[in-house]
Amino acid sequence: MGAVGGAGATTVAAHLSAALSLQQRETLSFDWCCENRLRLHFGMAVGEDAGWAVSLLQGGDWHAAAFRSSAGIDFIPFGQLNNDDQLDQLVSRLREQPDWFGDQLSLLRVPSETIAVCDCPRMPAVLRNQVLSVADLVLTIAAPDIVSYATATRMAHGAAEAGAMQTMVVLNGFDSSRQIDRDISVLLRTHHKSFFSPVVIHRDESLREAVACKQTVFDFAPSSQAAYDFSALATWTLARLGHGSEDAA
Amino acid sequence: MMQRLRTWGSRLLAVCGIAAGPSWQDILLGCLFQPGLLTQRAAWRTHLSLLFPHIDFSRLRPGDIIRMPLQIAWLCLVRPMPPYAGAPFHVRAWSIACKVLSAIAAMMPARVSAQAKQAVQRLHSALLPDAGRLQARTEEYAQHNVWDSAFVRYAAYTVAALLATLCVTTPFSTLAQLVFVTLLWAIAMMIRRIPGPIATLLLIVLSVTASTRYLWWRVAYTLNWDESFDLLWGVLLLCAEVYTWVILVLGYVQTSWPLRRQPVPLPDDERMWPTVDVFIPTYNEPLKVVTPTVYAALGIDWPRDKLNIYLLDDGRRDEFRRFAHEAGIGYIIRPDNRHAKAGNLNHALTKTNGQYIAIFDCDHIPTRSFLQATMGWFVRDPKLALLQTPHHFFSPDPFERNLGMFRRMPNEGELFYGVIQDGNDLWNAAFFCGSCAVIKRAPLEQVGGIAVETVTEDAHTALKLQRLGYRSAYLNLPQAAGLATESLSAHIGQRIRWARGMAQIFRLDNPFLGKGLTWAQRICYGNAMLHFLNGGPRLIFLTAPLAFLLFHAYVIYTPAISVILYVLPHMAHANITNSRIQGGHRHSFWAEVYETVLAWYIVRPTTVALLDPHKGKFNVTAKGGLVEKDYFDWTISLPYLVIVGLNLAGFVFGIGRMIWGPADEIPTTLLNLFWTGYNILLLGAAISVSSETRQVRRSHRVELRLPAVLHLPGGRLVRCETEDFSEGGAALMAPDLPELKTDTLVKVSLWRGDEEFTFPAGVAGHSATRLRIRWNLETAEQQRQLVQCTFARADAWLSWANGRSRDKPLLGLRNVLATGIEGYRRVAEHAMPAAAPLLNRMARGADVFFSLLPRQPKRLPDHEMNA
Repeated sequence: MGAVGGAGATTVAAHLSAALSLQQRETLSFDWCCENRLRLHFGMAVGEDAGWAVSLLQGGDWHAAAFRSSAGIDFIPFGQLNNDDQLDQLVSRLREQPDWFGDQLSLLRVPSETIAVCDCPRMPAVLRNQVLSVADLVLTIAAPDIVSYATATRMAHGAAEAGAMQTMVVLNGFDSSRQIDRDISVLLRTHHKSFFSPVVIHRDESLREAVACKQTVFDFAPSSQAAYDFSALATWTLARLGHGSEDAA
Repeated sequence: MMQRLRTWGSRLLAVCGIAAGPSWQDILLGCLFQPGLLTQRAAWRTHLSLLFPHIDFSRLRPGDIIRMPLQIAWLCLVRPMPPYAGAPFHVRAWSIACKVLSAIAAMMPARVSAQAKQAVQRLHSALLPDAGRLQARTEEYAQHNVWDSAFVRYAAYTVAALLATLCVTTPFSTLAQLVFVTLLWAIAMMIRRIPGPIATLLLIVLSVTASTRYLWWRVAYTLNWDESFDLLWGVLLLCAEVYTWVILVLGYVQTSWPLRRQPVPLPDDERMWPTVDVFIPTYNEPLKVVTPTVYAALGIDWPRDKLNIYLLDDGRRDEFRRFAHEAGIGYIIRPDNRHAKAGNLNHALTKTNGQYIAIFDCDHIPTRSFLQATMGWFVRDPKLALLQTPHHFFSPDPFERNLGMFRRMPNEGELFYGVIQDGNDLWNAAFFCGSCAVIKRAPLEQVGGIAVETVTEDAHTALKLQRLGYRSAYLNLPQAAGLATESLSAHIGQRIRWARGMAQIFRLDNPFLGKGLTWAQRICYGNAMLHFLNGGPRLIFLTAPLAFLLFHAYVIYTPAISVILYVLPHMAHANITNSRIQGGHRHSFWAEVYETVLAWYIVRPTTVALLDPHKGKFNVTAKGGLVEKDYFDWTISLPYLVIVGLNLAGFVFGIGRMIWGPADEIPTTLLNLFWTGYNILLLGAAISVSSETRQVRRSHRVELRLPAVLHLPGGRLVRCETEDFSEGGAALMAPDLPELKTDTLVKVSLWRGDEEFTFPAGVAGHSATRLRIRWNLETAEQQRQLVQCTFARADAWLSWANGRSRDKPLLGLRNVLATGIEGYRRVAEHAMPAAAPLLNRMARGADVFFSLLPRQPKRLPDHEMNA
């Protein structure tokens, strides 16, 4: 989940599942954002509208919207909704079934160690809560700026006080040659140590170039720092989960 | 003839791993279809490369036309070693013996046979238990509670003393002595297999026995009292030998059981941490040498309000004052330069008030963990007044550079910091070495500050502290690193100072006399000082055989065979024992090279200091300079060239004696020739060091793998590792690097703990997987960060000696002798530059010739044999 818009949560979600599957883990990537952008990292055509929300609204089976990328990553796009009414319709439907996602996940016949990586939206709250209620680990993606820092740390502390699932802050787009970036990472490490993921994702142009080539950075530039960061993030996530089952980003 | 051909053929096949079949056809079929050979190309290739270790089949050279048939002939005619690595010789020998015994047992009547077989089995496992069990057993015996009784202990001492007297003083015939030393050697070989300190002590006992017996024999039987000339030489040599024996025995006491102290954690409560002043004394070093040290000191992990850093500038330079001000550290100067470094430190003592003082020479860059690692011991032990850490050098000293052995072999300092100081620490006698140490202020003020009476103020200060009953400690963790001396002359100058200073202390404040020390402390300090008197004895050993060869003086008045029977065990036992104690920190025989180089130069200063300790002055060790081009230091090597000349003359005389002399002198002549030959090669190795190799790089590259990020101009980031780094630049490695032009501006990130810093840099060189960059640092802030990310890392020097092989005495001897030959080649090259091409051609010709010779096939590693 992004602390603010544009923090890079979708990119992190896509690459986290790619890194996990490179480490021979069963993964399933769910896009819960109506912007429907996660799929673009997996090489799906922009014009393709299919997705679980679309299927659900059309009364079909949402399983039909599962795809597999050329790199072998299973993902379920949100689907392109045509207008806001459709989104409202979906929201009202899910509001009545707050445990819908959990139920659907438990119905899936997948290996027990499968990790579900969800690109979780901040809004609408109904969609967000569907994901957060089943998550084992919440990664709040923060950009290295003060607004992001303030929001992310408040979210993490709030979650801890509410006794909700553990929420960790991941710093994304970090550039160590910028003073603010270094200061924020020091602040996070010293003042919010218990919420701060030791892995920071660097601001690496390879990432944007990879998306432009409809690839993940692992295929596009395997020796880039971004690729290294994401596989470190995957390793850390696994350790954090205790090789557990589900996960949300 | 046919039969013999067949034998050769089957032998060759056996080497290849093919069982010889009944007929040629079978063998051919076997070759083609037996799995693991022709059917598996890879396996076949491995076999080939094992059988022809000197031929590269993927790249054949013209010489291989000769190499291959020669090697084939060799393999057929000489019985090759089994292609597989087997058990060590003694295990195999013992197994065979047991098999023979079992066979004998099988021939006995059935009832007895079973029992006999069992007995053989038991014998087998009793004599060949695994080393771990043997170690456990020795330790069990050593810790047995029977030793708790003082009576038993003293009874054992008495028995041991009696036995020792018996072993040392009983006169033996030649044959009896042969049996005795063989037994001694056999026991040593058995004990050597047992790991652990108890076995080391046993080896020491054997070595001391052999050496003392040798010395007793020398005194009692080998002096020619009738000839005054012979007697003079003989007594001189004997004195040198007594000195060696004393150093050997004291050295055993000193190093028999290194303490290997580990760091102690500090209390959790930071308020209990003491205040520390860091002193960085400087006199004439350039600012660029001092900057990294100051920046690193600023990064030491310690509460800010409890750490004060002072630059003590005896040069009183404005540049330094400005720098200290900008860096935010204290700057202390004094009106005069009395007592050099010691005076400088003492003056600073009066201006500061921290509870502890950490001292770094201005070129020793501390790591950030220095105080964290060391201060725990002070908090735990209030009587502790001094804690020393090793001096680590990241640039090669002249020995390492000129002999090309940097980081491959332990250097001279490593023996001292790796073994001797750790051994001293057991006896509470680790001493101060002038830098990279922490001293407690109160005791230091109690002894009147740093000692100023001698030129080695460090060791003397420690001695004074210990006389008052304060404890010292040594922590063998490199927590600071610096530059080694640049040139051989500077290196020798430094050693002369140490030698002179130690001799001064020996005269002025002899550790064997005076109050307040335990006997072990006296031995440790005494040995450290006596050690520097080795110049004279070393010169005597280098010239002793000449007495016979040139002047026909019998310095050892006895038949050659007895000499061998007494002197060989003495040397062999000393060697294996020292190799075991010092193995990882010194390679056998190299110490002889170091001592030989210094011998001539320390004889005079030490003698003068012993006679008149107040003569002589402090000289600063020059560091950070350059050796512009290759040259040969004739001035330094002149005394050795003279001794070589004498030895060569002796050698020629000796050969003359062999031919024209009386027949009964031939063994003695041979022995002396051998000794001279060894001396000539040893001197060659020493001379080799005088051939200075070019040293042009201003900043030294430190090979260390650190994670790094390369920021490319377009904003892409590449994950890399450093291959090496220096103050000037770094080399980065990555599996694939994009094409970059020279001078392209990039950025490189490095980590200091969790914190990441980025530094601007320019590309200096490039290949597909390797990028060399030059730092383009803009601010002092960046310089500080760079030092803290590289040299001052807590783990920077910990893996320095990884991948180094342990000492093998015979290999050490071979290396030293080879270096000796190389030394003479260098002399010839520098003396007659015109002849250099010819010499090179000769050397190359010899190389080619040796490469043609057949050699033993290599062994397959064990795991492949089982596969």
